[in-house]
Amino acid sequence: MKIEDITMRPPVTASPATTVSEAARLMAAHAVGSLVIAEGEQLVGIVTDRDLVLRVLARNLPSDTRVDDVMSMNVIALDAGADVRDALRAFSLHAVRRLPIVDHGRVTGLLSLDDLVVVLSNQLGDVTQGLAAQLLFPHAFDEPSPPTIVG
Amino acid sequence: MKAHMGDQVVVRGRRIGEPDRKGEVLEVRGPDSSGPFLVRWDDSGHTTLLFPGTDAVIEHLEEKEPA
Repeated sequence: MKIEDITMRPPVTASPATTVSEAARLMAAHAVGSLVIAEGEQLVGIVTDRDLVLRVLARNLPSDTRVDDVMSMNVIALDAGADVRDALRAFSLHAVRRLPIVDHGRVTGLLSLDDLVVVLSNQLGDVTQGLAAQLLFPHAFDEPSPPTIVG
Repeated sequence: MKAHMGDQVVVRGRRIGEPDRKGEVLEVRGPDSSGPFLVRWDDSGHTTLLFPGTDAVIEHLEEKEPA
């Protein structure tokens, strides 16, 4: 399964000069927990609601602190054509919870670990349904169907 | 931040005790040799896109060659 097949909301972006209070308001307005920080077309970082708590509130930084002072840099991203297994590996190896998805240099989506878990658990649910049917009605699967005589 | 294919990128650990991560630049996707870079990480061998931050370091290929 390709990452581009997973429905994702488009990322909410802000400029590096955005203040942390504006960033919090943007998150609230769009009901998201993170912002992609971009300078023009270039992605320069990600800031999350957790960053605002741990790096701003916990340190008593003023509300006009620029978001690029507290964002995470060195962002790991994936191509839109990457496989879900690539995403799982990236989440695991880089200890991140969000991966920007890039298509021809442009960030087109933000895949969260939560999104991926939901998709995979739904798929697992489909498989489980089949297994459950076999466990509940084992004999239904024993007898082959009689051949259909045509003509 | 500019890099070329074959350069090494070093991302410093963010916390005390966290090791630096190193990888080889396989492709340069940005204009004028800038990021993002397609990087193969030394520690895992897997490949991801990296949008380097200002604290990332590029070690150019020629700097690693003996004089």
